[in-house]
Amino acid sequence: MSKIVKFEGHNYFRQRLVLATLSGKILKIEKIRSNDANPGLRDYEANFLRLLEKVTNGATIEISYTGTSIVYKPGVIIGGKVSHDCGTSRAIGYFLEPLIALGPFSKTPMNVTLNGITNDNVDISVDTIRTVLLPQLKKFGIEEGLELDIPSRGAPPNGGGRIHFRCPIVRTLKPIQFTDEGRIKRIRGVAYCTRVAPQFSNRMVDSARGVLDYVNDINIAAVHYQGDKSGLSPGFAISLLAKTTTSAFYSAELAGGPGQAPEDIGLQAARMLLSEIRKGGCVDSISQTLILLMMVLGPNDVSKVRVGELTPFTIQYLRDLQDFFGSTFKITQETDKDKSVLGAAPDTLVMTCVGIGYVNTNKKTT
Amino acid sequence: AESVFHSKRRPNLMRLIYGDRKYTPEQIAQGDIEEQPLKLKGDDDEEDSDEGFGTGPGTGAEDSDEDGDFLTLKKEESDTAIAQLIDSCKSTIEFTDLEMWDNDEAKESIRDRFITGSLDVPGSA
Repeated sequence: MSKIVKFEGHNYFRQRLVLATLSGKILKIEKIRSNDANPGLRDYEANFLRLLEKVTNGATIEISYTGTSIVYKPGVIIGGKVSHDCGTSRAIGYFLEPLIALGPFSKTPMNVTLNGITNDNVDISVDTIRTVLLPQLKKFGIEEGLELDIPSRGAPPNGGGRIHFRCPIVRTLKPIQFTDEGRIKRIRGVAYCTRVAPQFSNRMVDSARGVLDYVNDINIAAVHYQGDKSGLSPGFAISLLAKTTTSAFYSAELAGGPGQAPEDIGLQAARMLLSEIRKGGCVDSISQTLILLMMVLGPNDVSKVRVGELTPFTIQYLRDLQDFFGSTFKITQETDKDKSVLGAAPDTLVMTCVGIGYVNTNKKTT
Repeated sequence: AESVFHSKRRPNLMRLIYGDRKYTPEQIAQGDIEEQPLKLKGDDDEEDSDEGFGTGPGTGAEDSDEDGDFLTLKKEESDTAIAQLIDSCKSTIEFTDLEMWDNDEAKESIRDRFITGSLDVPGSA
């Protein structure tokens, strides 16, 4: 396979940079919004490149004069203590998600402080990353010292939130075999509000609980952030997750905006969780990409995971994984007759792949 | 092998994703796949399909000639379609789709996914 991977267009910008960094391949992206009235990179994309420069060493990024093409030569993931202002055009999730993929393979453990918007309806909120994405990394052997603190919240448009992310480093990952989705035993969640009436959190929790009356073990924390923890804009959001007996997660989240009733937000978020549960599988739609990446980076052994329906984002991710690592997933459609319940989606996909045996050479074997 | 391929109700996802990549991810996810080109492809290179998947990114480029015209045409359409795509793995929310959960039948349908549901699965008997 060639050392240079070429793409066109601005789509899937982050994942391609991350995959280039991990694979050590040179990435060339052309025609970035070349037909747009405002061509070239957006401020948040440039901001992400700056963050990438902070956590790596020796990377070179060449951006053309018009900003419509970039050449990225990846360096070594160095990690360490990094502080970054994410701006207000995209939420912290936009920047944190790629860091989670890079963190385990860094030279020194990552200790990142990010400032910006913690919850919005475009990117994954920090709550869902903390409660859903990070616990799933444990299955791959990334456990000790994986932490995400949210000392202060920031709602759009002005943000002002802050998070600390600490990630341990590993030498190799473990393969996973995860095809038993189990049954849902508990529902957890976080409802937060800042700079609005403190009852907003409780109102969201109450309406969400009303829909999720399937199990008794429901615990949705209602938090009201005050003072310097409350960011610069008023806002409220709810993040829900359902955990099964085999530790599969389903999640949903929704943030409220001006003029919206907290009851509606709680209700819609709960319904989104039900939709996610109906899709089935062991991995919910927002964690699909991370899990698949970790499977590809695993040892030369077979990893197997059951997913619900693939999102468009994941489908492109599968293609990009093939372009960078040359690994292809075997996708088996399974219609489990025993589980064909009225209205439920009985079709799940079993994704199988052999890991490329990625080794973090920066970590000593001891 | 051919009969197995045609008996599948849904088109082969591996072929759609790793094949010649003429469909955008959005089209695949929504099942918005025209039958015609798929059938055509299935008949054409039934034999080399298995080795094709294993190879690298080159697979997309080396396609049969007759599909060539179709490919470029599709590409242009798709470019405009995904122009507004935001770089996030969170999918956009369709609130109209969520109204189905008002229905008790729909709510009941996923009851067995919870530990409180019955252990005898209906429909299997």
